[in-house]
Order: sequence, then C-alpha cells, then structure tokens
Amino acid sequence: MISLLIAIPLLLAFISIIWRSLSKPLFFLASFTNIVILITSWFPNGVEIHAMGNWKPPFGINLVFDNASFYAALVVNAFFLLTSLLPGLVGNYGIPLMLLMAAANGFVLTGDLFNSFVFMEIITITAVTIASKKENFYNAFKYLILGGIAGSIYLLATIFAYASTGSLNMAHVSMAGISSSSLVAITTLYAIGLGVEAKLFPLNGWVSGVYGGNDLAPVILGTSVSFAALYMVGRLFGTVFHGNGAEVLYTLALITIVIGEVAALRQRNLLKTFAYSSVAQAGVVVAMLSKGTGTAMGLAYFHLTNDAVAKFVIFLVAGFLVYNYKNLNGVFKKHKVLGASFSIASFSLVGFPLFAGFQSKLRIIMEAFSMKDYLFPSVMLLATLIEVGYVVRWNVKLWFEEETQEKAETPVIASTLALILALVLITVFIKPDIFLGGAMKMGNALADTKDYIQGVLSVVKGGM
Amino acid sequence: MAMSTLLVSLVATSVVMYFISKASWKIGAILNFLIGIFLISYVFALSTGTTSELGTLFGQKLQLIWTNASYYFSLVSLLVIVSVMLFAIKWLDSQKYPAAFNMFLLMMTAGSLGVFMAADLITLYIFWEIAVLSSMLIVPMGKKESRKAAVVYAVMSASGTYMYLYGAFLAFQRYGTLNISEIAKHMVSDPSTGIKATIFLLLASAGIAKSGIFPLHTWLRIAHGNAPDAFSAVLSGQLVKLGSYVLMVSVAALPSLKIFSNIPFYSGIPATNYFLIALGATSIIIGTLMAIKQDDMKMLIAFSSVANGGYILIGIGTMDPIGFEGGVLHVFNHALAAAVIFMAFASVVYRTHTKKISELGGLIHKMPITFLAYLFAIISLAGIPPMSGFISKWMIYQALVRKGMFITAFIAFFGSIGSFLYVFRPLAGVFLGQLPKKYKDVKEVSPIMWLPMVILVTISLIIGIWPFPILKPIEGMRMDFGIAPTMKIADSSHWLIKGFAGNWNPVLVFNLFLIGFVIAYILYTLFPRPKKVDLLAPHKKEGAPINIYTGGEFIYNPDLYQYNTKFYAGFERMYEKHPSWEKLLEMLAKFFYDLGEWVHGWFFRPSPSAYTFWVTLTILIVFWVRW
Amino acid sequence: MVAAYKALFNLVLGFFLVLSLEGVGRKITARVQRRIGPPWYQNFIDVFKALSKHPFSNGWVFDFGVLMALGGAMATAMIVPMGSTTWTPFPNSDNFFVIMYLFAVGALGMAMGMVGSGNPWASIGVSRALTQMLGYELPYLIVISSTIFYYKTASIHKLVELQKNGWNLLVMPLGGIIAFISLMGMLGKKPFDISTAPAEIASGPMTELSGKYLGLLHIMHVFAMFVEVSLFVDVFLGGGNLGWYLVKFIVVWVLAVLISSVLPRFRIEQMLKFYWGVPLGLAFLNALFVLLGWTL
Repeated sequence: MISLLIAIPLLLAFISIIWRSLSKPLFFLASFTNIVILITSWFPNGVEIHAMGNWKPPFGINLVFDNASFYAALVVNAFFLLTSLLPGLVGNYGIPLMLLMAAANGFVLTGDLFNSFVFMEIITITAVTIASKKENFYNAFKYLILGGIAGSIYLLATIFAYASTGSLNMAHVSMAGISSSSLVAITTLYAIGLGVEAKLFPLNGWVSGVYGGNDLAPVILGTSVSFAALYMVGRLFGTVFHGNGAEVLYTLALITIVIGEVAALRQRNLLKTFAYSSVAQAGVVVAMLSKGTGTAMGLAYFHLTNDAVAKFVIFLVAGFLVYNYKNLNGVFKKHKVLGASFSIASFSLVGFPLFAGFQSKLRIIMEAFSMKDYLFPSVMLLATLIEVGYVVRWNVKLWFEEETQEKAETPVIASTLALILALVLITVFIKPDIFLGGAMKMGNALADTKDYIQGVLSVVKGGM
Repeated sequence: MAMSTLLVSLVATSVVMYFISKASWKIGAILNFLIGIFLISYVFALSTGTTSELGTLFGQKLQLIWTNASYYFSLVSLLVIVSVMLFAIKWLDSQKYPAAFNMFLLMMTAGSLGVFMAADLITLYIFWEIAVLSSMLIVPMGKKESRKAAVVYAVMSASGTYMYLYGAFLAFQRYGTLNISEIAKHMVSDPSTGIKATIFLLLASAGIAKSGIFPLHTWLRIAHGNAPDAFSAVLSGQLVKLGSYVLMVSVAALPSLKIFSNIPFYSGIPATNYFLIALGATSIIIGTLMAIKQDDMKMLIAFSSVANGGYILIGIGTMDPIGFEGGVLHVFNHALAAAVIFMAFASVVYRTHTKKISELGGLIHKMPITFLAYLFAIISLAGIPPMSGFISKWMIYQALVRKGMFITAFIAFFGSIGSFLYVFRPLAGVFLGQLPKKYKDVKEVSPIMWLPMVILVTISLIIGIWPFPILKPIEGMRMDFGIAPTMKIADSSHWLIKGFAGNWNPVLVFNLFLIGFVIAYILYTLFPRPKKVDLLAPHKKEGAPINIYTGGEFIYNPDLYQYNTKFYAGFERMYEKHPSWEKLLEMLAKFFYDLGEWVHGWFFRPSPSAYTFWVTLTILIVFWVRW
Repeated sequence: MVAAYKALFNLVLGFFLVLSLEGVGRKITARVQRRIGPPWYQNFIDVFKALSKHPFSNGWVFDFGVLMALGGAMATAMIVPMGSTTWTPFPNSDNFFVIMYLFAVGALGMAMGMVGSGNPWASIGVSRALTQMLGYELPYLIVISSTIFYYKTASIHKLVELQKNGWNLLVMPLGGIIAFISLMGMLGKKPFDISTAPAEIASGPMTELSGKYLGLLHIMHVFAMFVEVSLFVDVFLGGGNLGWYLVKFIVVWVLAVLISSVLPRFRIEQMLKFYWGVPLGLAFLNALFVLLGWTL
C-alpha cells in the first residue's frame, strides 16, 4: 500500500510527459490520492515495512511506515495538495512537482541509507528545476552545485556506514556496533550532507536566492521539502545514530538561528526576508532535534508544522505581491483578506499568543529549560526579538504606508486558501492537539530505536 | 459572568467590532464606549478573591484572580480607556482607519484587563502580548513617522517581554510552578541569592521596557509622539501602567524585602530594589531634561511619562509603606493627567493639524474648555495641590526623606521642579500668548471630545480633595503584600493623611485655597472695573495693530509677537551637547544590520565556489573539533 | 474657630509687616547707595494708589490668573506657623511639603495670568522665573530634607518645638547658610532678580499690569515673601514668642536687603551654575554630616 505513495506520482509524471496539458489535473490527482491513501492508514502505531521484491531486511530495500514516517508523509503530501489547488502557481511545473513529490515521499519512507541518497538526489534535481522558474537560473545553478556537493558527502557517509557495518539498512546499521572513530566520521558527514537541505549554516547560501527567485519555489521547498529533510535529520540522528553528533547539530543550529534572523533583518526583499526567517526556524527545529528525546523531537516537529503552515501562507501572499506590484507600500489596503492571512501567519511565526506559533515556541522553551539548557532559550528569544523587528516592519509597510499603484486582480483561490490556513493557525492555538498529537507520536517513534529495529528486522510484510 | 468568559468574549467581540465598524464606524465607537461602561460596572461589582480558570496550557492551569491590585489597576485603566472611547466617537472622523482602531482598542482593553487579573506568569504573558500586539497595530495609523514608531515600540517592548519570559521559565524550572503567590513562597525560602536576583531582574525588565524606564525608555518619545493623537492618551495613560503593574508584581507581590533580606544596600532596602530605584532616578533626570527642550508637544509629554514612570518605580521600589502607596497612587494620578493632556493635544491637532509648539499660540481665545482641562491636568501632573497629583508626590517625598535617600530625593525634587518648567511650555506656547493669524477661524471641539477631559479632570480634583476612596484599595493592596500591615496612612475619620513626619488634611488645604480665592475675588470686585483690551484686534480688522505693550512700536502681525520657540533657551543651552542614549541604541540596531550585511556578504551572496569552500571548511572544523 | 482667627491674624500681620519692611528695605538700599530713598510707608501708598486706578484687563485668563495667584499666596500664608505652637493656625496640616507646593499654586497662577496677557516679555520673564526656581529650590530642598531627617518630622511647628535646646542654624550651620542663599533667590532679591529685570525685559511678568492688577499682585508678592521668610525663621532660628519671632523675621529681612543692595544681577546661566555649584555641593555635604551624625 505505502509504496503507492511513491509509485502514483511517479507514474502520473510519466503519463503527463505524454499529455503535457494534463499535468496540472494529474498533479492534483496524485496528491489527492496520496492524501486519501494516508488517511486510510491513519497512524499505524507500530512499524510496518514494505520490503521491495520480498527481500527480507536487512537485505534489499524496504520502506518503513511508522508513526514518524506517516506524519512526515502526511505533512509533505498535504502541502503538495495545497499547491496543486493553485493552478496559476503550478504553471508548467506539474511534472517536476510530481517527481519531487515522489522523491520526497520516498525520502521519508525509505529504510535504506543508499536509497535515501538516491531520493535526495532526485529531490535536489527536481527542486533545482522548480527553482529555475521565472528564469532564476543563476540561483538555481548555485543550488545545484551545493546540492551536488551535499549529495556526494551524503553518499560518502553512506559508504563509510556500509564499510563499517556491512549494511545499508537503517535498522541494521543502528543495531551494529560502530567504532567510535568511524561513527564520528559518519555522523559528521551526514550532518553536513543533510545540512544543505536542512538549511544549516554555513551550508544554506542557496536559500535566499532560490526562495526569493520565484513564487513557486518557496511555497513548496519551504514547506514540504524542508519537512522531509528535517525528518531525515531526526531519523538519522534520533533513531539510527542515537544522538551521536548531536552537539555538532546543536552548535550549527544555534549559529544558524542567529545568522538567519540577522540576515533577515537587513533584507529589503519580502520573499528573501522570510527565506532567511525559514533558515532560522530550521535552526530552532534542528537544535530541538539534537536533544534526542521523544518529547523534544515531537515539539520540534510541532514547531516545524506550525512554521510550514505559516510559511506557506506567507510565501503564497508574498509571491503574489512581489510579482504583481513594483512597490509594496500599503498593498494590503487593496487585498484585505490576503493581508489578514499574511499578518496572522507572520504573527504566528513570531509566536504571539492567539496564534499557533505561540504554542510551539513556548513549549520548546519550557522543554529546553526542563533539560537544563539555558543557552538555547536565550538564543531563541534573542532571535524572536529580531524577528519581531522585521515582521512588524513588513506588516506596517504592507498595511500602512501610502499606496501608489493600481489594484491587481485578487487571486480568489489563493486568498481563500491563505485565509483557511490562517484560521487553522488560530485554531491550533486554541486546540494545539490538532498538530501536537501527531507530532508527538512522530517524535516518540523517532526516539524509540528499539521498536524500530524490532519492527523492521523481525516482522516482514511483503507484497503490494 | 466569570472573568475568563469575559476576557475571551471581549477578544472575540473585538473582531466582530471590526465588521460592525466597517459598516459604520460611529456605531462601532459608540458600542465600544458602552462596552467600556459595562466593564467599569463589572469591575465595581466583582469582589476580591474571586478566581476563574481560563484553561490549561501544557499542563499548567491558566488562572485568573481578582485582587485589590486588579481592582485598582483595572479601574484606572478603564477610566482612561473609556474616556478615550468617548473622545473617539467624534475624533475618529479625522482618522483613516476607524474600524481597525475600534477593533484593536477593544482587544487591547481585553489584554490589559487580563494582565491585571492573571494569577500566574504565563497568563500574564499571554494577555500582555495581546495588549502589546493590538496597541502596536494602532500606533502606525498616525502620520508618516508613526510607521517607524510602531517598529521601535514593538522591538523595545519585546526585548523586555522576552526577558520576562525567560525569567518566568527560569522560575518554573526551579520552583515547578508559575503561580505568582506560589513562586513568592518558594523564593523566600530559596537560599541561592544569585538565581533569585536573576529571576527578579528578568521579570522586572518587562515592566522597565513597558513603563519607559531607562535604559529602555526611548520608544516612548517615538511611539507616544507619533501615534494617533487620541491613542497617545491610552499609551501614556494606560498601557505604560501595565509596566508599572509588572514592576509592582516583581517588587511587591514577590516580597523583595524578605527575599533579598540578605543583601541590604542602604537603609534596609535590598540592592536589587536599589538598582531599580537607580534606574527610576535616571529616568527622572532624562525624562525631565529632555521634556524641557522639546518643541513637539506630544514628545514633551512622552518624556514626562518617562520621568513619571521613574517616580512610580522609586515609590514602589522603596517598599516603604508610604512610598509604596505613593508610587501606586501616582499610577492613578499620572494616568488621568497624561490622558487629559494627550486628549487636549489631540483636540488641538484636530483643529490646527500641527503639534509643534512653535507654530501655535493663543488658542485660549478659541478653545477655552480644552485650555482649562489642560490647565488642571498639568496642575495635577506637576504635583500641586489641590489636584490629586500632589498627594502621591508628597507620599514619595516622605518615604525618601524618611529613608535618608538624599540623592534620590534630590532627583525627585529636580523632576518635580523640572515638571513645572515643561508643563508650562505648552501652556504658554500653545494656549496663551498671541493667536497666529492662520488659526483665526479655529473653533472649540465638540462636547463629545471635551466631555471626557472634563470628567477626568473633575475626578482628579475630587480625589485631590477627598482621596480616601482611592486610598482604600491601595491600603488593601499594601495589606495583601504585607508591607507594614499595622500602619494606617489614610485616616478618613479625621480627614487626615498620615506620614511618618507629620500629617495633612487635604480638605482643609482645599478650603484654604478656596477662602484665599474668595478673599481675592472680593478684593478684586471692590476696586474699579477694568477696561477690556482686545487681544484679537489684528485678526478682526486687517491693518489693526496689536493692542498690548510693544515699547511704542506698531506691530501688525501677531505671529511675530509670540515667545514660544526655545522657551527655556537659557537653560537648554547648558546641556545642548548631551550624550544621547537613543543614538547608542540606534548604534546597536545598526550593529545588527551590519552583522546581517556582513553575514550576507560572506556566506549568502558569494559564488558556488565560495559555498564549496564553506562546506569544506565546516567539515574540516567539525572533524578537527570532534577528534 | 480659633484656628480661623489665627489664620486671619497671619494674613493681617503678614500684610502690614512685609509691606512696611519693603519700605524699610528701600530706605536701607538707598542709604547703602548714598541716596535718601522714599519713606518707609511708601509701599502702602503705592499699593493703594494702584488699587484705586482704572485698570486694563487682557482677557479672562489674565483676571483668573491674578485671582489664583493671590488666592494661593493667601492660602499658604494662612497655614504658616509663626514661631510657636500657639501661633500655628492648623497644627495638623503645617507639613513642609504641603506649604511648599501650595505656594506653587500662587506662582503658577501668576505665571499663567501674565503669559495670558499676550505679551512676550511676560513669557520671557516667566521662563526665567521657572528656571531660577530650578536653581534655588534644589539646594534648599536638600537642606530641608536633611533637617526633616534629623528631627524626624516635617511638621513646621514640631520642628520649632524641637529647637528649644538650640537653633537648627547652630545644629547645621552649613545648611542654614545654604538655605539663606536660596532664600535670596526665592525673594527675587539682587543678584537674583533675573525674572523681573526692569531694564532688560520691561519688568517681565509685570509688563501688562495696570491699576488694581498691579496692586493685587503686589499684595500677592507680599504674602509670598512673608511665607518664605517665615519658613526660614521657623526652620532655622527656633521658637520663641511672637515678639521674638518678629525680631528674627526683621533681622533676616534686613540682612537679605543689605546683601542685595551691593550686588549686580546674574545672567540666567550664571545663576544656575552658581546654585548648582557650591551651594548644592555644600547642601549634600550637610546631608552627609546629618547622616553620619556629625552635627553640632
């Protein structure tokens, strides 16, 4: 069943190569089917695997479906579905989007290190294609180079892992005792390899150019792909390597937070501002993931979900504004619904009460304190302070400055979607369990290595 | 209605209010006013000790409790807010965003009430942020400079708020509770002074930022000076008092005298409190000196708010029974005075469209009621009897002299005399003197706008003569916080206010003034009637000269015969080259910008080859560190 | 009721005492400067003449300001104790800070009325007067605060009682001298007559005054000086019966007149620098002595 999540988008992508005009509806169909499949297998609460070609793990390639990969896949596909509702945004990029979707699903579901490398490469290549929309070639090229380097380092790490354990299966690798020196090499290389997609400093040079270059890239790369990449950080460092290398991630994450916010503060371009903000948020998530406990990781993904929803709205609105107005002063006076959604999403980002971000940020700080980590909360609060600065500056500029231009046509679907998601953010403030429940299950699943190993290696469910 | 229901429905209503106001902002404004009246009656009806629960957040119950402090602060806030709501019914017609104004004003009211009701630190934080957020969205509705003001306000406020949040969680981590009274108990028995002092200062910093205490005072000038005119009244009269409330919570609700009894600094006051007092004293100096030299009347009073915030902090910080009551009473006095002053300025701007003192003058001929409201408000602000402002200043002086804190007392005196100077500047420059010709057709504002000012001024006068109704909850608060519970300061049966060094009778003092005034009036009527000099002669007839003493010259243009630019030039010259804290903070902001620039230049702008270099370098460093 | 008579007596005595002393002062100044000078009752003549003439009024705030000024000054004069508990009209309210600030009502009334006349010279005068207040009040208030701290009371009649065994001037001579220098500024005597400065700014606040306005404000000034000198006598020169009190009052007055008659006028910054220099420093030194218990 779960291999369909990868197969359907892949299949439909090939079909739409033949019937190019059908790519938009097929993209919608693919994401919709995926969501339906996921809903029918709501939270497995255990570990199901799908072994390709009935090769019993640790041999062969297997897909792992547990609470963690389920929740990640759900979020990833949900954003693809939301994107597919916006035909104007998708444009000619239906095929790369479907490929990206297949790769992202595969990346999330796979239980094999080498396989995950393959999916990561596909993600990079399709993402670069998407990033090149609106002739944003140079930035896409930068991304391609960085993605390529990251891919090779990731591959190197995989090779090292194979060399020292003789296996590529994640469960098997995590079980095998690796000598501490090679473990250092492996985790370091993985940290760097994933760091590019996870937007860790200083590997995140591509982010502003890609997110700021067109309207589609940030919407999908800043939400789905980010989530998939950060899922893998949790999977590798939480489940497989038992927190080895966490201090590297922690240090890089803290630097990332500060650097991201500072860079966002100086930014005068709306899309790039929030691109840097998403860098900083990724830092928060990684810092929390590096803690390694179920609660901490759960909260990290809760925060990431909130952030992704908020970023989707922000990038959607910002993309519309940037490509329809030369001067952004006071444009929200003409687009009140878009404006309200943008404001709500950006306030959620800061973590003002009444919005979802408050729930996750406060919990994260509290959790950090309970682990006697006093540094991270202070860095995070300092970052939030800078965030307040630019979020308020943008809101004030977009709402209150004197407007000068003719009104562009309001995108009805985009406004509705943005408004609904904004309302979701408010609802999550009132009932955090909507996101928190799943995220906590995900965190606990990632932290529970024993269950994972048992589930993968002893139970075999083959076939489609 | 339970308190939690009230707060939640107020927040919800505020959103509804937007759509009502979108249909007709006037109806919205009137509804707002009616809700305000209802809230006042609600506040009167609630009995102390009532609790209510808002819900649960990560396993912590969000609790509300109604205390004497909540009663007092809510009442003061509502007096100011409701007056502005009434004022806004007419004033909003000069504004661009009336619907949003109504919505955020109501939301801010809910937030403020929530802060005063909160029984634990997180509930307080939530409502605090609601109040900050909604007020921050009203600020940029003013003129062009107000945009930047909103950002500065948000950042300064946030810097205090997040320090508070850090302190709250630090306390939670150590004591396992967020409830204020529980924390107080734990802190008294906690042996580690360092952690206690850290928590104390972190919690207080929210109050420092909000009530405009040095070093986080600079936003007051920018935000209060540029916010929509009537909203400045709320900012200065009410929102700043949220800060005073948090300061009171961190100094008195967490009994600082007991908690820090092992680090006395001077005259039984712990070093932590003394640190706050020093900040308050610095604020008085800065606020007073800067207010004296302002030409923008709103900024002038904004700086005066800095100085008055300092008085409140000094009074509360002493934790002396009289000083504490003085500080708390000063909250009331400054709230009313500042609200009236800003509303009077809003009326002036409403008619003349300028807030520069040097462009105004002689408005008393056109706006006498506004003038009188302003006059009585400044009498209260400067702390002159028979207005209520005097009582709190008297109490604070009593405490300072009793404790032998001569330097602080000196600064308090300086601020008080300085306040005569700066409140007189708009009085002379805006309302008195010669009316510029371009304002010859200006009219008094409508009764809806002057009525709230008159009401507030009347309340302030009545409290100045008979302060016991307002002193009662303050004494109740003092008992709650256990500050010298046996001592009685307000003796209403003998009409006395008792200080440590002598008493006084406010009724008697007022009556003496009345008698003096009556005698003066009798003398006045006994002697020949005067002839009227027409000061507006040049306005009425083109080519008519000014009627007053001009040294024998003929002066036809009244604009030229008005002294209101650099009013205190003699004094201002003495400190014109002062160092500027604002510039220092700007440098800090610039530092972050430059850091961003640097990061951008080194890590984000370069070519792919540079990225490769960074990746390699990171790998090398990480390996080097880990091996 | 007794209190009311005492208060009335304060007013009557204050009026005649200070008005005659003003005349005496003019005479003394004249003699110091080798002139003959007017008779001692000249100021009575001036006041009554002014009151009887037809005046001009510059609007209602002008009238109101004059009434407020006179009313405030009289209210303060009614509270001030005169050298003993017997001559204290309101023993429950003669708190120092109450008197100090009630006094400001009159000053504010005058400032407002005069600026309300519409004449910029009045505004300049008021601006100078307020700045001057910033100068002399600070050392004065520090000295008074240390006195209150020392005697543990701010009630004037109690302060007087507590000086039975020795004048406060002898307990803290430094403080007494500073307070006297401040008193000179309060009285507006040379070198501190900056706010009126007839030759520079056309008498400042008084520019527009005529007839009864001039007279009423002169009376207000009389009561103000009565309050200022009385406070100094009460706080520093101890108690005694009414006779002694009058003697002390006159001595202080004559001393002030003598000093002022030989001095020129300060500029406004010079005045501030003067008060915030040595007197303020010494006031703090005095406060330090009091704190350390180093009093005589």
